[in-house]
Amino acid sequence: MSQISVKKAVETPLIEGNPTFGSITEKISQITETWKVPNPPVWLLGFGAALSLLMLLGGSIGYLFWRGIGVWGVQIPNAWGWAIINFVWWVGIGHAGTLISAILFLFRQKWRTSINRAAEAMTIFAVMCALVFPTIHVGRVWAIYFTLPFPNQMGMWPNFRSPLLWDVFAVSTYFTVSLLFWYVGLIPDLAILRDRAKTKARKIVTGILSLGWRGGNRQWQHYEKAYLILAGVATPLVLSVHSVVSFDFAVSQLPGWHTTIFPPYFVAGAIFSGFAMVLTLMIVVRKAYGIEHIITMNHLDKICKVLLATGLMVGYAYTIEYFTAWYSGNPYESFIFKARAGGQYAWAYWIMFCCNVFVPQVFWSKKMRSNIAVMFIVSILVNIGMWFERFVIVVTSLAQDYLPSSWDYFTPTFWDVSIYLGTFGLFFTFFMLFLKFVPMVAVSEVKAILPQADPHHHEGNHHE
Amino acid sequence: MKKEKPTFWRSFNHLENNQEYQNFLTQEFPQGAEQLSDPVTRRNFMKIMSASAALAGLTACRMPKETIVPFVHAPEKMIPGTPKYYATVLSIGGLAKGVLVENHDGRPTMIQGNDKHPSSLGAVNEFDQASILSLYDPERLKISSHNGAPQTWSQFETYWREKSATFVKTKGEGLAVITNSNPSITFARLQKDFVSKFPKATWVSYDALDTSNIQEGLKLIQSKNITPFYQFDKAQVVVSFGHDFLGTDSDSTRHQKGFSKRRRVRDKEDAMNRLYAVESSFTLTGSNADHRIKLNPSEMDSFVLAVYQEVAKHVSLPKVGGTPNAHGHDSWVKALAKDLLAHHKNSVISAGKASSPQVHALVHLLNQALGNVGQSVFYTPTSNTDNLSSLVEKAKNNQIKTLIVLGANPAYDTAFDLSFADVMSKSGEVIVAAIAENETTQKANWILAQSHALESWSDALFQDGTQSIAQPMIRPLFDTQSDIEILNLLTNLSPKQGYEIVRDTWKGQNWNQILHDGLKNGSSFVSVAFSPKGSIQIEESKHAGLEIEFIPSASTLDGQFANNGWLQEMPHPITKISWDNPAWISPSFAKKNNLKNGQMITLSKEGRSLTLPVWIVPGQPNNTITLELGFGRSVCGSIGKDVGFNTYQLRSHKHPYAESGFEMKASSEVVTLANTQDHGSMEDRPLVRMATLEAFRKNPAFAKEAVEHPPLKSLWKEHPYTEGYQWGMSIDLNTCTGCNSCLIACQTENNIPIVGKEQVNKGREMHWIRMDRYFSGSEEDPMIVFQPVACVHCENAPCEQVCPVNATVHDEEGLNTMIYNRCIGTRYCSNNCPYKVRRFNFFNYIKESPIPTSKSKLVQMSNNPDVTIRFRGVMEKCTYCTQRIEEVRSHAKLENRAIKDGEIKTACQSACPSDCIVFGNINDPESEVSKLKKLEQDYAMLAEINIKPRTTYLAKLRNPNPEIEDHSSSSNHHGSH
Repeated sequence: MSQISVKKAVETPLIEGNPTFGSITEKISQITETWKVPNPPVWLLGFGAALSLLMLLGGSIGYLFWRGIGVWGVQIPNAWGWAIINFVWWVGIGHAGTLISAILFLFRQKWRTSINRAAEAMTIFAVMCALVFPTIHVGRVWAIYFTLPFPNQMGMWPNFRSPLLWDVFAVSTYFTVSLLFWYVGLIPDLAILRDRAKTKARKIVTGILSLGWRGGNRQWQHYEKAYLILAGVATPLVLSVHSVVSFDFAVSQLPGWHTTIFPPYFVAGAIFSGFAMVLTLMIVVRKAYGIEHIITMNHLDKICKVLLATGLMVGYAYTIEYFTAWYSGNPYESFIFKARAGGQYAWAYWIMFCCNVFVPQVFWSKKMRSNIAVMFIVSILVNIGMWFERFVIVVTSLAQDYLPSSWDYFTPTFWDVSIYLGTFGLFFTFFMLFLKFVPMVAVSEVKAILPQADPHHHEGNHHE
Repeated sequence: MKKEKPTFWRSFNHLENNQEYQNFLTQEFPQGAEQLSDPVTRRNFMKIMSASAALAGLTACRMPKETIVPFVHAPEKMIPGTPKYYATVLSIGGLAKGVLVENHDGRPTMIQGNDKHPSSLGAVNEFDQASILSLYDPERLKISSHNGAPQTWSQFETYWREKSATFVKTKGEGLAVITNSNPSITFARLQKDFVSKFPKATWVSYDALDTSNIQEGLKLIQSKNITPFYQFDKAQVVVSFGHDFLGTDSDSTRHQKGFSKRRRVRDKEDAMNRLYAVESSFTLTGSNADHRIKLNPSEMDSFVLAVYQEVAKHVSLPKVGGTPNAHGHDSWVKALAKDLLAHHKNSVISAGKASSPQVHALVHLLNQALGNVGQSVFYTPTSNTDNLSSLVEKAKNNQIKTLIVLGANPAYDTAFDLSFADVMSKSGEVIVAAIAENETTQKANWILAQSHALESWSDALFQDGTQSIAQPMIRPLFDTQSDIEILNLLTNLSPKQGYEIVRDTWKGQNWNQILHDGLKNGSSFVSVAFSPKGSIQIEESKHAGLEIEFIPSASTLDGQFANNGWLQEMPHPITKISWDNPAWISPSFAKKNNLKNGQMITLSKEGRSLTLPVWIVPGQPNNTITLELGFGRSVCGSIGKDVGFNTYQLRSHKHPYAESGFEMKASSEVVTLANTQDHGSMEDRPLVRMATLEAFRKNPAFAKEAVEHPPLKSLWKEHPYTEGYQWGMSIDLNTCTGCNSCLIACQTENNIPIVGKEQVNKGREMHWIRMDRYFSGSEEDPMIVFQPVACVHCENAPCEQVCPVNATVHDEEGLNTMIYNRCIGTRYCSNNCPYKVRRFNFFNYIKESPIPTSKSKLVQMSNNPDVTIRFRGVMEKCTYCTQRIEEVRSHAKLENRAIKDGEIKTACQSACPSDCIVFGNINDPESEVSKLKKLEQDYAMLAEINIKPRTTYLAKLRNPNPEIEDHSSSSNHHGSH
């Protein structure tokens, strides 16, 4: 087996330009150590923009808390609106990172090493953004701790039958494990920073964060085991978290929500949107930081293939829902699916369908998969499409359920939009800080897949 | 500012209270209604953002504090927290309604029917109930004034003593009094005194909803001043010519009671009455009819003549001139006549106040010929009402020196061509007694602050001869006097307590007993024999241009309830619009003129014009635009001010209810109208299940068979619910008329806030029970069905399973309860509720209400102390009036007995004038609700999703005449708008 993988690595090197161990360390660590090149000057601009959006978020949430949920467009019957759409959307985006790190790790997909650090960071920040929404969308935010199962004098427990409670556990577990996984992966790289640190403060901070890493054989042995275990733990979480999120809908009795296909459909959609977001970010980052040789066209090509595959999966899900609706003979179910494609929200449905199903089809062509501009546009469109997918699910079903007397049209308000935009501020503030202060590529892991890291490297070369 | 605050204060409330009290005193003219809006201007945005960023840490997490002060000297026989019930009588629209008022610690909180009183029979309508809120209206007149300067009553007394002395000399020359019709016996006595003291004075009693055509019609065929008194419970066949006896008629409560008695079907052998309605725009009567014909108002007379002539072929009827015209419904008229003849002495034919005197004459001749007089139609004396136009003439000739307006609002609700504003400016001096600021007080010299009916001693005579005493439920909240006290002062010059004045009238009678029961029985029916005094000629209908029909408002009546938030927010039974009165147009009229809902049109004729939005109403006659009266008040409290459009501006004195010859001009402007039900079609879903009586007799289980579903299996072991009381409800859709009485009853009982037009438009109305209205059949000639929907208390409640914090759970008696303190407001329960009956407090609707007066301490006095006020961010919904269950339970426990069937009545049930809501213990096979649920026509809506609702419905039945084949008897549902 190793023979084959080695051979492959030799045939198409994952890292281009034949860098040395030192040059990779230098390239990546340098970013965190200086404000000069290779840090792009636009960083400050990006950070400023992100920070102002973050302030918008803070202000909007403050106003929301002050006035109440009524500042949004939610109503009866559409008691959930943008908050839940955004929640599911961000959780979905938060899928790619752990998938890349954990599942691809278990499957020995070595190409993951170049992008896993940034993807994981993206996951964590996306999940943070996601977590904002269930917290702020409750009517009495000061009582939200009622959802936590803690012993209390009232003898009251949360309702373990409620999918919202499962959400609390699923998303918080996912967040914890993702954070831990990310941090464990960071330890060797933090040690590199510590070793390179010149100022006292830097020495202390990186010293504490690297947990006394010395890179000894035994440490590596433990470390790799721990990493493997975490990868094993994280893998089912990738599948479970969005399955549980989908239960919010699937467990209810609402036509259009009450569907058994939701868990796999949501997971596929989540990976789809997560990879799209990774693609968007990586295209910008590799260019801005001049690390095109580390995050190569080969990586982007693979992401595009994942997008194509998951796009087909969601396309299948969209289509099969119609079959189910028809086959079930349930008039309410059939109505809602007819209404989705042809009713008052048809525009949203077709935006979703085009962006998620038709647009990724361009990636059948190798030419398109190597065209940065096309990839960038598609990745953005996919994320727009995925937002609309959640919009279609949440809003169309609520707007027209069992009793036509209660049907109503949902219209968002300024505050729906401002909080959504605000979470981009939260996301990018953290992401910009990550780019600046944390090694954005897993240095030690990338080094491990360089040809010269292979103990048989010279041998192999020799053979050639 | 700082100095005004007390140095020592017990709570924040004390501080606030002080400020509010200050405002309360000084704010004679409160500011206009602010709407809860989010205008995101740049400045506003920056303000909010910076403020909220600063305050983000200090969000309002604290419930408002309340201070409780105990009685120092407790009144005798008063148990704190235990309500008392007093019988009294309310007079709305000239009708005496016997009611029971629930009184909590000295403040009235709810109005229910007095089952002994013939006008109530235990039920009330929405106006009666909403009077509570009008009582506590903080924008009422608090003190009398003269030319803007506050005056005491003794100052007015001094003034009037002087003034009246001159009028005594001239025997009242130049003195005029205007009132609305008032059924008070004492008022009539004082009026007599006044008129004898000032014989040359003009006394005018008028109503905006004028009924003089009825009396005039009867005068054509006999000579007394009488008015008909219908008893619908005595009739198998009912024909209404534009008489909305189930809806806006002031006596609708009694009519609904009577009509539903003959409508109710329990068994397939039961008989059921048949209602034919001929009308213009849709009314509740029309929507409950087995056969409805829509006509333009101008077509009504010839149609009635067609019916008359058809009946005259078979029985002898006096000859009447004119050309009958069935307007294409000839076979319908034939079948109707046949049906009427087959039900001798067992039918009612009635006509509405809008009908011409000739139509009324025909109607009563028909009733006489069909043997209904003395069976189902009686006649009772009525006072002759003076003509307002004679007073107007006098005023225009400057003959009126002092004009006194008692309680009426003629500057608003009189026809445009009387130009009452001129009358007031040409009258030397104007004295207006009113409960609240209105268009008339605005132009008055003297404004006398009048007490609300619930603060006053009075009495009333009901048309059938029943007399009642009205007793005050609370001391006047402000420095006010009742209409009787004011009239007494005007007549006798010395103030006297209302109690004494009323007692004088009732001298020698069993006062205590009458006061306790709320009535003294009596009969005032007169025997009559009709024959035309002259020739009756039905005039050829000649109409050009558009016809306009004026109808009373379902929420403000004639405008007097405009400042009542409950009523303003109550969706119109037909259009489901709240806070507005658009012009009703037919779908084909809309198509022809390319109009859409909310589009502004201008209606004009001979110098008058009005611009208002349109609303497309299926079943509207094509050439007729219907306008609701009672909106667009320009001087009113903040709730009613400028809500809707003042349609009186188009109303002429000669044609108060319908007029043709209008022109319409459409504008491109479209305004938002807050309607609570966007979708009028049932989408072929088995929600309201309906069949004809005939089909029901063939297959009584049709309702249950309407849905086929697989066996219902639960994922887990279901709770059995077989022990103790198990509460359930049955709603009879067959007798429900869609009148909204339950809705207001629920609002009163459960302290449901009003949220304002904008919030209603956003879909955030808070009503726990709503009246769903569906159209079926064609757009042009549809049928309307109503379905009251509140929480049905599912045994397998979907809402409970999804709440993450167990804030909504079942109790052991099958109630789906809401624990407000536990609710965090995820709103998941609402999403999972298939009936969408849960309501969410999107804002703190009490404290931050768009209605400025909602937060007033005075309005809060109307709250039921047995029901919690909900804070923002919590979900709420129907509780089956759990507080009423507990009250009865505690009584039963004290007496060591079980709760009896019928002992607990939910608020909606007790208000329902057609007795279609029955609540009780379904675990007791002998209870009424259990028996109803065993009926074959009982069905559970959405039972197929295995939620086991505790509220079930009795299917709706129609009893069409088999000889009439019309669209409204077909039961196929088509989508409307």
